[in-house]
Amino acid sequence: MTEPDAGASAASSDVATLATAILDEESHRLGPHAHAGTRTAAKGQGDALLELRGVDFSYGKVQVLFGVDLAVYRGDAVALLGTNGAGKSTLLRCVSGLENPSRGTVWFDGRAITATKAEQRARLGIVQLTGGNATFPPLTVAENLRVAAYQYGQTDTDARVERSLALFPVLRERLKVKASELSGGQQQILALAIALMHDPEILIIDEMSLGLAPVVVQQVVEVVQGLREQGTTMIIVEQSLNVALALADRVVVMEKGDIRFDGMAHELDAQGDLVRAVFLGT
Amino acid sequence: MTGLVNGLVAFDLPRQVVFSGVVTGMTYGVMAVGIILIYRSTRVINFAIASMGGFGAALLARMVINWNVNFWVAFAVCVILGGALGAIIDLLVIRRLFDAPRVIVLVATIGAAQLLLFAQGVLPQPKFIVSYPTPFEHVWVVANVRVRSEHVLILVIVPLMTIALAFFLNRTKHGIAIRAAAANPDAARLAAVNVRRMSTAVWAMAGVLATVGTILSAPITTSTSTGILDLGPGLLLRVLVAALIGRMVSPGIALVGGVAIGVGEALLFYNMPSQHGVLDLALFVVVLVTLVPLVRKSAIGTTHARARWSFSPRVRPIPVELEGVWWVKRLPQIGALLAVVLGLIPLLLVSKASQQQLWSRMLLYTIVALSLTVLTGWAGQLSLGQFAFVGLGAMTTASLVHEGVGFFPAVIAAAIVGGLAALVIGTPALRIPGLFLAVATLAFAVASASWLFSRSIFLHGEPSVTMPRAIIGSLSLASERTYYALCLIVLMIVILAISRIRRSGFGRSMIAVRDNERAAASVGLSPTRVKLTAFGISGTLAGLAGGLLAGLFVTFGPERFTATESLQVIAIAVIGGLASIPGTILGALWVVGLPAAFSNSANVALLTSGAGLLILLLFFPRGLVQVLYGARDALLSRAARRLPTADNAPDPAGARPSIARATRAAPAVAAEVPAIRVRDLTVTFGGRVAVDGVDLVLQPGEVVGLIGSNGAGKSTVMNAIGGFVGSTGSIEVLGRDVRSVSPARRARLGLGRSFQGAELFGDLTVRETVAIALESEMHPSLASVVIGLPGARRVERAVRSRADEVVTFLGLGRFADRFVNELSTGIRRIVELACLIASGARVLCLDEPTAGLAQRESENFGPLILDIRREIDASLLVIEHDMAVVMGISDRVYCLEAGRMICTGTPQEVRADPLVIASYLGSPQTETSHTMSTEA
Repeated sequence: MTEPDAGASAASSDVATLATAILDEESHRLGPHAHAGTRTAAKGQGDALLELRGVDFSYGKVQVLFGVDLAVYRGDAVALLGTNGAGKSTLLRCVSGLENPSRGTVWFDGRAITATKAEQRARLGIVQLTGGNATFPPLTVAENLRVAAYQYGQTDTDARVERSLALFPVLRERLKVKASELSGGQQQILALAIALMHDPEILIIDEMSLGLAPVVVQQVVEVVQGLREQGTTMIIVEQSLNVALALADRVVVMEKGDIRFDGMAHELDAQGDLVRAVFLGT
Repeated sequence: MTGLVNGLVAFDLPRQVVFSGVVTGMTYGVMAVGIILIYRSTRVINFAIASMGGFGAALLARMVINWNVNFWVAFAVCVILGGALGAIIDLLVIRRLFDAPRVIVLVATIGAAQLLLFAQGVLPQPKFIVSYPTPFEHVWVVANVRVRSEHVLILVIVPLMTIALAFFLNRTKHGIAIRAAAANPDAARLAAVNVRRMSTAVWAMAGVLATVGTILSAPITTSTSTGILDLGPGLLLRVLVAALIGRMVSPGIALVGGVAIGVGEALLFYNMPSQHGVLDLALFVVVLVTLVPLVRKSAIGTTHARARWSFSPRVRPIPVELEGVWWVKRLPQIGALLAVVLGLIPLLLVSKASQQQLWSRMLLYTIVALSLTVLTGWAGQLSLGQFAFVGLGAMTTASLVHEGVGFFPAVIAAAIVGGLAALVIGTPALRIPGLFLAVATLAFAVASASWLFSRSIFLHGEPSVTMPRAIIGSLSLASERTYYALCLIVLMIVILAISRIRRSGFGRSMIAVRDNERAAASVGLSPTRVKLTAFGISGTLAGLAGGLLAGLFVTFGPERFTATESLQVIAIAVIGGLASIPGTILGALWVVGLPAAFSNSANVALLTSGAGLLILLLFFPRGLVQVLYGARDALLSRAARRLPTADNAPDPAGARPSIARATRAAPAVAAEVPAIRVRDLTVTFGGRVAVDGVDLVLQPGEVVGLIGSNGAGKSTVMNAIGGFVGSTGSIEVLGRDVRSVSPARRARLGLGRSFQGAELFGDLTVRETVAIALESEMHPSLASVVIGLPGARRVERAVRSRADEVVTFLGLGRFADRFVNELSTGIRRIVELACLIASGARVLCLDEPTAGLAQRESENFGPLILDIRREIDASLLVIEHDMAVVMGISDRVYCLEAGRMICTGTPQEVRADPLVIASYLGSPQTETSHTMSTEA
């Protein structure tokens, strides 16, 4: 970069210098990507159920994930925290296969699934509940449940639908009602019923409590806690720190498309300033 | 004999009419169901639906008549084939265009339709001329209505098929999965449903429906089995209208709509046998009436309004080191010279008059295609009705010449009439986005050809008009050669004029509005005015071409200006390279020139345009001209390598002038007036209250942060201030009440707005993007641009130099000629700031300015914003999720939760506010936040 003209005002040269710094950073980023991969996972290497290595993701020109490494072990309950736009949902979409990383690999149960389609990953037992958008609005509750059991045979389907209805009796009364006509809380319960139709190897819950009344949140939390006690591996994204910590033993904090903290929930207290910095900007 | 006559008279004719209308309408309805199924699952309006059915129906006639195959065997074979055709179109075309704008996919289905028509044309001719085959021949009389075998077929098969389809979709596992995949593709994939396979299945079903519908209706709609079935835009329009009546979602209502159209058609034909164009007019009205509520429903409006066009060809900037080389500098002129020489060839070499006429027609079609380049390529308004304006021009010219007006004045009048008509059509079209504008313009084209052009003011009751070519002084236009020369000259003038428009602010504004309407409005452009300008220019060119076509044809009727021709013109514009002037010329050579060279069979024309559309969209989406540009780029980079490199390319961002001169003068405002004052702002979407009684003040020179969790209503507040969503309560910008002021006008008051994605205008360069911001202040008249007056050039030079100043000021010099969508987010953010500075905005609303930036970049962004505030004396309202940034730069912070303002104060106060902590970290009783508050 050339030096500013002698005639230019100090203020404008500041602007240009700052702009240049950003531009240089951009150019640097666009150059060859050197991935360090130095972060250590919570429990050591090798036997992870789910592992992401150096995952980059961009929506068009907007890069959202920057070389994310994450390992989740059997029986883990991971809370994924971070502000809006930190890349949590995108990361989960890369896990479930709704998006494919632009760089990096995704491993599940010892095999690379980076290029595996979402519908095949679902059969592997990767079950995702996308908060607020997990149901089929023009379909009735009964039809929603039948679609959820698409991969199973007829008798298996009936058994699984019955199991879900037993878990959430409120749905049984509304089998012929369209999902779009349910209340927000009932829709979320339907979403959970759809997700629990399967026997998940790993259950991914994205924004479960968004827009729900506290009573309903409590009910949903209890169901998930039950799964947790059965040893289901899960990743939970929550805006509400309370709910997240009630369900998880391990906490991963994301900021700006990368992981800033990865450790046990009780370690987070020691790192309080970090959480505070992420959420409140001290 | 008398018995037969008596029998005929005894029939209750209206009842018979209604009956045959119902029967015909059921076949429209079946096809409309196919349209809806496809629209629901892939968001594509399938213009190939009629041709998909037509091929099977034509094949059935050949199998039964030529090869004596049993009707039912042939029926089964053809229906299966129809389903296979649908699946093939999905696999080969739709799936490959999965991420393309839906309007491009629509054009691809037009290509598929033309290819299928070609395939129909190469089938062997039927051996005997007989009526279209039916499995049995019998006539029943039921309740005074004659029911023939083909009616029975329809009455039995259509309901059976509908019931079967409904059962499949509602009761079976795969049917429910198809509906689920259409409703929520992501959730369907998570439930292990293969969404793409479902889409193929839907296309196959639509192919079956279309084939059955066409086979069943063929005995009624065609008198004999010869030739190509009448599957023109007329049938397509009826089917589309039936689907629109079903609101593109309900097969049942669409079926009823189809029947209603069929009955209406039959009754009209019975009462006004010579005026069946009235039905097309009525359909056009129905399209407009059904579209308005459909578009208002956000589901359609939002998904398609944002369909983006990245299919325009592009030219790389000339390498800096070659800028001094003479032939590089003169490359455009060399190209133009070559084109003129090419244009002169037919004049010198072709001697046959009929061939001469064909080449003249190609030149005039090029003008029509150029009118589409302006409207569709630049302004992004897909028109399938361009030949309506052409026909209007031709009819006007003929009528005026008939009245004794001279040929040239009549042609000029035709151009004016074309322009005015386009403005009239453009005004309602402004409210109709993308795909549905295509349907509306198609309806207009069909109604024009069948109704408008046969009005007595044009045709005087005759089937055609004759307009002898003029003799002006000693120059007779009667010779084909002279007329060709005239067309060539007019084409060259048109090319010169629209090249000037493209290089001026008018062209830039159109592309800006096409790429991002909101961002254009936020820097002061009025999208309405820009689009209407495009409609006006486009209609004028089409009318002009029409006037000259009238002179070329001498004797002609409305059949010269049908919607089929409009589709041909779409092919020209897309094949050559949408939005490119040289591309349009190449496209005309391909679509009109190639068949002309092959003795102009209609079938070759279908092949070249159909295959051309598909091949180019799939493999060279930027058009034929991109191949040419590729060659040019290769030539230039070769030349650049051979030059001795004296020194490394100097950084064009050398001197950094002060910004003061480069920006628009700020409006004079008293210092104590708040930059923004919002009182009791409420925004509701449907029944949901997104923003609930918010008060907000931004003092002059202040930076105010707006924070809150996901969905708290921050962006909505900003949208309401900018005028992008409706609201109640009061909004003042710089002391002015702006509630009834358009977004563009608010921008001109000094309000600037950035958007989350910083998408800007993808197909403009950085310099052009900044120039857009200066547009509302500095623009010459359209006439002076077209004529090339010195005033227009002076304005252009001034805009360029001021844009360069802002570009240099922000250190963007080396990106000045790069296209915006080639840049990374960080650079686009700075370009966006450059735009706001250039537009003279003094009140800046920035929506997540650091979203998509890496950590170090966002750290730099805060100080940059503060410096810009100092430099241009701005007030800023900033939405930001990066708390370090927002707390670092803000004087005050507002915190929103669920649409309500929960806290205001300095960053320290807000950070310590228990409500804010609860909103972000959960309730303060939890262990974690407790630890944190003791730490603080």
